[in-house]
Amino acid sequence: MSELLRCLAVLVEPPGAETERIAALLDLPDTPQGWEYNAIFLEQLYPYASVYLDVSGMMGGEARDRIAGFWRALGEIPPPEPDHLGTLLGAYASLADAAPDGVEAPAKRARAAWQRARAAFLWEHVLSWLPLWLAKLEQIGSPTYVAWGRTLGAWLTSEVAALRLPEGLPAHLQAASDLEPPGDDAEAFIGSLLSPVRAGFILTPTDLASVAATAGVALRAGERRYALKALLAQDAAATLEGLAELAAAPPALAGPIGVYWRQRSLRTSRLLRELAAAAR
Amino acid sequence: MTDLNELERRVSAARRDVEGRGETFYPGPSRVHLASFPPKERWDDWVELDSRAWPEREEHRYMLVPTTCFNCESACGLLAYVDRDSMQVRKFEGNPEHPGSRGRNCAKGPATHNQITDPDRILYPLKRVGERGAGKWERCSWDDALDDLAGRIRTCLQEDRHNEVMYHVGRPGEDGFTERVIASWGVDGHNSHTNVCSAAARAGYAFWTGIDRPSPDYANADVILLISAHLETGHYFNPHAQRITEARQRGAKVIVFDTRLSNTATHADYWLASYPGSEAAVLLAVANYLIQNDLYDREFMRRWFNWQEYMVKERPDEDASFAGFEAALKGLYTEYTFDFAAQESGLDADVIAEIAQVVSTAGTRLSTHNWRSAGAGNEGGWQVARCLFFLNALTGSVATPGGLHPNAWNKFVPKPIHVPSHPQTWNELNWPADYPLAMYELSFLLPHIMRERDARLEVYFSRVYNPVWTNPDGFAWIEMLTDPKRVGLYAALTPTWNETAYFADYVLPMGHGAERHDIHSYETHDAQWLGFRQPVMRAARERLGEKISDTRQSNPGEVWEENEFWIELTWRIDPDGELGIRGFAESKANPGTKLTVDEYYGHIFENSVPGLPEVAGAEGRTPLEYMRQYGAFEVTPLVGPLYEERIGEEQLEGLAEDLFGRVYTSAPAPAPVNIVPTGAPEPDADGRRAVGVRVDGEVLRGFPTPSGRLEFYSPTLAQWGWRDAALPTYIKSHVHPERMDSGQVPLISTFRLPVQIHTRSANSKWLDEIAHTNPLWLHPSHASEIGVATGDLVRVETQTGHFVVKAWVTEGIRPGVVACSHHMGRWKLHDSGQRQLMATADLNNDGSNWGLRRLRGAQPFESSDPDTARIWWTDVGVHQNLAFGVHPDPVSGMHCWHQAVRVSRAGEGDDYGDIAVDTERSREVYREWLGRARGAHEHSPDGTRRPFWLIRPLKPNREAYRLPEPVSRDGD
Ligand code: SF4
Repeated sequence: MSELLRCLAVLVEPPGAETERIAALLDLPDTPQGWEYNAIFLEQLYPYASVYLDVSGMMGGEARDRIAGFWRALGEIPPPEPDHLGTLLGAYASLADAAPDGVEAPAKRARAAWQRARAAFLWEHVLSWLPLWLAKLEQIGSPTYVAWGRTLGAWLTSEVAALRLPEGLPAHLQAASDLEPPGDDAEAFIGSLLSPVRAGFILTPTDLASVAATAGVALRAGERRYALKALLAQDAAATLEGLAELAAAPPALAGPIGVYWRQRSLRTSRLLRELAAAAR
Repeated sequence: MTDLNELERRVSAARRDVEGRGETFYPGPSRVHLASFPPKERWDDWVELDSRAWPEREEHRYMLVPTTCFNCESACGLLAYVDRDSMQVRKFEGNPEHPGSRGRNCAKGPATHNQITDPDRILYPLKRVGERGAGKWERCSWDDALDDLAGRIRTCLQEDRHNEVMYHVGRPGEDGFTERVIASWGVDGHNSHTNVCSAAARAGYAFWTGIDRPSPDYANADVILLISAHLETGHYFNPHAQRITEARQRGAKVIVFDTRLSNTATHADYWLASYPGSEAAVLLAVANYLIQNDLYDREFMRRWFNWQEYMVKERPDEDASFAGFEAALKGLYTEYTFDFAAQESGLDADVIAEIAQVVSTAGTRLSTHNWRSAGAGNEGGWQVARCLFFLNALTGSVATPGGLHPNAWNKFVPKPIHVPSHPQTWNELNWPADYPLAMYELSFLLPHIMRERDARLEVYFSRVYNPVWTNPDGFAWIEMLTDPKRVGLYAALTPTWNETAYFADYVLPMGHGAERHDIHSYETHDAQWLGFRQPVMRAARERLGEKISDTRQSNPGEVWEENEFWIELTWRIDPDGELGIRGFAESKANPGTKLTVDEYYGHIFENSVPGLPEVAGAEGRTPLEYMRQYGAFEVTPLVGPLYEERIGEEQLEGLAEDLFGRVYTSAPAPAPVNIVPTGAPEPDADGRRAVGVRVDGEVLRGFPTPSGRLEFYSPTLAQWGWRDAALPTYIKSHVHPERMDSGQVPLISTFRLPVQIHTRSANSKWLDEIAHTNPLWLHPSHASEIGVATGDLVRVETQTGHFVVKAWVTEGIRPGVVACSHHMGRWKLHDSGQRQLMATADLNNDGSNWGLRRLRGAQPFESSDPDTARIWWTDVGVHQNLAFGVHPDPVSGMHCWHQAVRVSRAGEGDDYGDIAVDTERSREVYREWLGRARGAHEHSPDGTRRPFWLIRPLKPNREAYRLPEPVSRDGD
């Protein structure tokens, strides 16, 4: 399935000359446009695993290092942005291609080893966050990218069915500490709400706009941390309540990873509700 | 439900279909395809979409023709995209087949396109009309210029005035090509820019290993210690930067010494903003830490240091065993404590201790590099490289994976078609006896030496060189060039206008990187490769079946290439063969006819490059066709520690061995395959050649030093008057605080910005737009002391004059030091010349007082390139080098670039770009520094001018090494 995967991966890049051809091949309803791409990948759902897996909620950090470590473990040099979704999918396609053909024992053994590497890569660095990300895309994406996301989701499902996946939680998820109630450091709490791996849910600018609308407060234009602080400053209780609502409706994701995200999200929701009550 | 299998099938079919049409399915590189270079089998007909036509799909068909970048010495591979419809080069990208650059380039590589389309380029040979420097030119024919040059040179040779012919090179072309041409004339007239560039570092390496360049295996290093800017601008910048980056991705630690926060320093784990000139003190403190804590590679040291020679010659009364040496070593560097190094460098002693610890963890994977930087800045700078290599020697990281290799083992120079013998003359103008250990020609002293000796050059060539602008003391050069008594004829071979060419008699246009032939090989990593530079339009048209016999037929205007030029000139100097010269320009296949470049390279690729004929043959190509098609060939993928190579039995006949295990043989030397220059150890008293060195009973190849070992102790230095500097040691720089007057601060001028090339990128509009000025870096504390803010004018007073420049106040520099990058401040005196990055200036002169005043900066102008009407910058920087006196290092001969200056707010009459110099004062500076030299007449141990074993480009024969009577210094 590596041809298809590369095609899907190309659409994580800004639309170029080849986009029209690829969109048609993938049966997308339309050719993705630059504005559409920007609205999703540059404003709402950054296509970097580390944003969702690192405790900082930002690009880079230990999460990116762990992904780079996978390349190193293979004796390869990590690419410049190893956690970019396009790179991850391209890398996975290369892993699939690298498994040797042949029926002799050594080839079979090598193929099995590659298979294990592929399964580990998928589990640790793709399945650990991509289903959650795709679920969010389904909610806020344009029809073209939603269709693209569904094909990508279908591919993920087929891979999960085809491979023997590890059992324990991916290291990224194991390493993420729980969301703590805010102590003296409100800034840190706000930061952790913006860290999906800690909060259990993805908070996009669109989500913040809807929280603001429901709470009846003004949304200040700016990056998410700034906007969230402004909402809390205006009406902490209503904002926390709105956020709790969001966290209370986690997507239904399969397997232990799905359970992780669901539990985290619900726990955060409860915490936010308590905080909202206290604020009132 | 999406049918994934059906989608997969459709995508595969579509890709096959698109690629089957010779188009690319995923155009361009992407994250998904990490290096999606055009596959080489499709280079003859490659389709790309026109980015400017987007969203329309406008396809262009290209021929991809490889060549080699000419914009720095790295010699990265380029691929010219030749449009098959218009037969024009549309762009340059990286050549993925090139083992050094691996498809990557820095910004300057693709900017070759700006250079070849520059509307101001010189397209025809020009001859001066009126006075030199008057700026009046007329077009002349190549024939006229060649006949004039050939006639004068022939007369010089016939009248035994060989030393009146000189060739002065900036950016070299092919290894050894021009040296061989000049040698074929019997002239010792090769002059290079190396003593304003890298001679100091070369000396540091040569006295250790007999090979004068380092080749770090960065990609495999665990610790990288740079006294250089190899992540931004250094030598072999792109090939090295990509390998340093790989090492960092693996987790290697990078330590950078730089007084400035350079781009390289920003990527370092440890940035050491040491006081300029103190680097060797810090390195020796690190060495001392390794020594005192027994953290050195004892076995490597025992086998490969010339410790025995040191003990016998310098400590005859002590225990001469290795244990005795170790005991002595422990006492040698005790004064280099972390506190001492901290005091000299201004660094924190704890930081120095920490980097010493980091170095000690590298094992044999320590890569270090010094090329210009501190080596080129300071008196005694050559000891920076020597002390740096000491760390490699102590850790045993010499030619190991991740260690430092001598360059000659990572470079391949094939044997050419003709090899002339060594000239029988010695040119004192380039190699004065005052500087017997100078690594290269004392080129930057030429105006002073000429004047002092009342000498004359009948024919002076500069080749992609601009001494008026590049060298210190440019006004002295103008004085020399405008004096008909000194220079009979000056021919500037140059692809673009430069400050020196304005004073030429002939300006002869030579091609850019994509318009000329050369072969290159550089030490980018532990391997040997050969890159081919070629005129891409010539190669493209030949691919389409045309026959081109002269590169001028395919170059724009009458732009030529040096190789054909030198062959033609040599032929005309000796048209009938009477002088015995013509043979070197003659065909081997058809004697009596002129050698062509096709025969020249065809011969080399066929006969002198192991493996190439077989690889080419497997594709059904001749070796020349193969190189024209792919542009590069890897000769050896991995070289390793050649010093450990065992000498074959057949070479061990009639052996003799000296006291220290140097082994000599009377067996004839096998014909060398790789003729890369290295040290040439002297034979023994019975004429046996040095073949190896005995180590633990075996005869091993060793190093090309007199001892065959790593010369921790340099007997050469000791014998030639520098016993006090024969070991790695710290020499206090001329800008050491103890040697500065009150109010003076060091000025660092040895750096440049990543996107510019020393003197010939003014014709690259993309580069000019990015970087076009060179303000003076000043620390805020210094700025507030003298009351200036960013953008204010400051006057910088040097020993010989002053210049006026803008201030840039930044914390990115050590307090009490200022810095100004050296690649800016281009000027022209007349309207002709380069207009994108050259100010128009007025030159004035009164006796020995010279001044340069900027009349106007760059301006937009109409030309064949619409972008020139969009030039928005006026500032093109300040030419600081004019105000620098000459500072020859008494050992290496390197110009020591750092200046002791006074910086103040500019005064009433000061204007931006003003430069004023008194050349009488610059002559005093020359004499001051000459007083520090230890000349051959006083110090030669054997009546020769220079140690014969040291590398020298264009080496005269042994006879010519004999010292003559001292010369008169009366001059005029
Ligand atoms: S480093 Fe840049 S300028 Fe130098 S050869 Fe390579 S591409 Fe050209």
